[in-house]
Amino acid sequence: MIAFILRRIMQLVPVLLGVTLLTFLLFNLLPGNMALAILGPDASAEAIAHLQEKLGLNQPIMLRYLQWLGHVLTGDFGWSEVQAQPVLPTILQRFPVTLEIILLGQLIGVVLAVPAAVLVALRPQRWLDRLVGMLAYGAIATPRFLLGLLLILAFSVYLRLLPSTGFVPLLANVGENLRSVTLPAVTIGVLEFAVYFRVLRAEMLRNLAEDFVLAARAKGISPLRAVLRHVLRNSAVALVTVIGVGFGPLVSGAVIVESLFSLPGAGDLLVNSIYQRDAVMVQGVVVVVAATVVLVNLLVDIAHMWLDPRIQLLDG
Amino acid sequence: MTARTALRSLFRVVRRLPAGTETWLWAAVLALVAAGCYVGPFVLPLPSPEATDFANALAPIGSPGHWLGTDALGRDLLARCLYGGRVSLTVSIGAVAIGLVVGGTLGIIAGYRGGIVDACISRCLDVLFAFPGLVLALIVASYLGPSLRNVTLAIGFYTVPAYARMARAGALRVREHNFVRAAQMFGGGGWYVGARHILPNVLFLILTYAFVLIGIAMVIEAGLSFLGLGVPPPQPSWGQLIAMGKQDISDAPHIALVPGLFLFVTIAAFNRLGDILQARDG
Amino acid sequence: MHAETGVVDPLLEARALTQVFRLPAMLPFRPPRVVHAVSEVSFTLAPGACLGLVGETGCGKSTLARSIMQAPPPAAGDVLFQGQSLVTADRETRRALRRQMQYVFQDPFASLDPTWRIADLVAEPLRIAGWDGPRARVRTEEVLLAVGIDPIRYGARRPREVSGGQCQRIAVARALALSPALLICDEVVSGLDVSIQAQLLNLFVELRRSFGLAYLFISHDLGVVRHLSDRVAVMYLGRIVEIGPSDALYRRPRHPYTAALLGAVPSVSRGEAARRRLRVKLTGELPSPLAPPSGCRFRTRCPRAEARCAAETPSLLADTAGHAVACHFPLADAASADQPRPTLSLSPTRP
Repeated sequence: MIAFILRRIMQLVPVLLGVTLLTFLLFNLLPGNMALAILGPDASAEAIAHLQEKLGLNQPIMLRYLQWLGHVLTGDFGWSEVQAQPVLPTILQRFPVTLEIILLGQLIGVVLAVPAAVLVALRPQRWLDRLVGMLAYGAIATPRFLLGLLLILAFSVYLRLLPSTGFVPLLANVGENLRSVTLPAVTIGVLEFAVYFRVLRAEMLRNLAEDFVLAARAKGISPLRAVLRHVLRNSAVALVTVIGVGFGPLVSGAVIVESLFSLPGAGDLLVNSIYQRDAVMVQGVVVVVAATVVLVNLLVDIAHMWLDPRIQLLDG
Repeated sequence: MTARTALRSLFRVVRRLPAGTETWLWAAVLALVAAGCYVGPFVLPLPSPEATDFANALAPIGSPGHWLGTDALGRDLLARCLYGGRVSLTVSIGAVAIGLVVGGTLGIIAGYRGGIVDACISRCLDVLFAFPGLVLALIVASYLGPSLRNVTLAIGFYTVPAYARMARAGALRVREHNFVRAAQMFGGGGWYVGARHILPNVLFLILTYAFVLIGIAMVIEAGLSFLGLGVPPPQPSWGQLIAMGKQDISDAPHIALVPGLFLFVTIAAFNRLGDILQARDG
Repeated sequence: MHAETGVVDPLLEARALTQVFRLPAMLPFRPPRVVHAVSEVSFTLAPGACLGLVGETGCGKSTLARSIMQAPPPAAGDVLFQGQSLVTADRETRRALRRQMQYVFQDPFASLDPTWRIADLVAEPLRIAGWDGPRARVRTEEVLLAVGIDPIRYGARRPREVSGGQCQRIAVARALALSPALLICDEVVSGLDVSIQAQLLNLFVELRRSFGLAYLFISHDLGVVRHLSDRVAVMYLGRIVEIGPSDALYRRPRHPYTAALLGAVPSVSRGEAARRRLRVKLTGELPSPLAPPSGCRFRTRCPRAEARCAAETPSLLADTAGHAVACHFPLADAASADQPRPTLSLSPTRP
């Protein structure tokens, strides 16, 4: 088990290095002089040259990469000229907002998906199954911003129940915070529900057909208990995997949702930094995001292996 | 020659579509949307998508002369939706085509060769996979400069690893078959076996994935456009239209919802067709 | 063929052929695990003759066949085809020699690319060898007719559209395309209906007669092998334990393993049953090829095993009739009074 974890961590290192390299190259290799981009098209030649010198843009690219990497590893992600803020602290300040909506969204997804899947497992192939299935299908086909707009239309405009913009930090006022976060979290949660439901349903139907369920039923356990105790537990592995693997795409979703609802999260920071052509900040956000995704995938792998011992034997 | 094999595989996949009503329904939907977007503007008596008409701004659905209403500047919504569809479809299909060609080739090479080549390619794919799709497309598109070609390329950064992974898995399976061993025993070299035996069989496995991937690419493109970082105006795109409709959502929700409906239906059609095909295969 | 002695040079000769597979170790810093698939196998095959190769699943028959084809090349030992060593030959010679040996696989559908047409499948070896289109087409029709498949009706079809038996015939046709001298058939009739099996076997007999083909016929089914083969070799856990003329081997098996295998074959003939007085009962399970038993590999299941069997690996010793057995205590038969004497030397530097 430990050997497995260690091996996985060792595989991580080149990937993380690759992530930093790709990010750096993407920003520093592409056409478009960075100093020019920062200062705008009417900047004078001297100003551009001066900024280039100041930012060290004249050195060979690998050298700049290594310098930057060195700073990053010590926690110094640099300073954003454009927004006049230190990069890493700004990102870290905004990250909890993003995390909050992602986690809440996943929670909503699970809370909706599990009962729905249990119901369907008890009564497959009936109208309920088809109805929920179609709903899930519709949810998947709807881009998040569209769904968000619909929710805003329904709950903010027509019903005037929930705010469509603005964010109250969790520590300031829990109630207000939850109110401001509800619509964004639901926007994320609905799509997650659809994905979780489909996976869970497939897993449970597959497990229902297995012998051990038949044995349990033969012992006289009611269908509900059989499903809850035996089937659900075995299907949990697949669900955990989907939740974990879904984290990456959810960051994309968070970017959209934060933009739509004007939430001060990391995604909003990313988009604004892109608007302002703040390369340093964008670089920092992307590295943090990618590294987080890689780490989350590692955790998912470990959890997966821990939950399902069979994987251990297959790992080569 | 390989292109001909590819086309043949595509035809075979399409021929295998079950003749159920649902398949025909969704295929018809797609055909209708594609026809509407690419051919419609030539055939239908529509005003230009950029023609402003302030007198008729914010007209609701069913207004005379503007079947689907107008936006805040009086531009005809139907025209804008159809032209916007062109962009969304072209970008998505283009990005998936890039993914199939580049990603498919990389994946097949990685899966068939194995060894160091596979390890290198797989590590590169892992790096690309660490970036969420939209984020990757965002930064590539914004730094290449927004244009139809660049947005397609940017989304291609997402589709290439996705397809490469599938193609690699397919190649790993196919190369164990005895017909591959037979060709090798006859003296067929690596490229020969790869192109004549591995490729056609893997293509067959991964072509069905194209549909679902197009659906995903459309969502990403719409997201990019919604954020204002996709294909730039004056070319409309569904995501863009929805973004612009957001401001008037209280007074004239149809401005955002009509393109939203187009988007939804098209994505649903691609997803559903992809699912049907995959269910057929599995 | 030696003019003086009249002894024919063997078409195929295997000398101390050894093949191993390396599996990665279970834990880090441990040595890799080695699977001893084939260990020091030697035999000869005359032109136009048929050698049957039998044994349990996992005894190394297919691995042996593939090593002969150099796919992949053996870890040790040599393979001589028409007198030339395949192992030490350069690429050109090896390619030319390999065209004279063709391989037919077990699962007919799996050995034919489902995306290709039948005519193209049969012509594939020709095209790879550089034949031009029209010549290849003519030859394709020839071989398809030779195996009883109508090229006009079936040429444009795909493997999925024909039956298993027909597929196997097509595979054989493909193997015949380059006029090989040797056909290696790996479990080619397993998995087919018995009636189809019979048809296919008759086809093999006929092809042998028409083209003078030599066969290395691999099967786990003893009945099938007997029908076709002049000589039979029995393999166990990577070694040949008995080899000899098929009649002699079937009537008077000398190795306990062979006798056990034969004991499991249902037989209608009462005469044979009576002659098979010694019935050998097998005990235990097949040992793992990762750690084969020392000395005689069969000793863990052999009811006749003694201390000597663990200490000393028996070598193949033949009697005058060319019937060789690798056993310290071979089954004696009342009819044969011959004493075993060494015939086959296992060193690669045989004069």
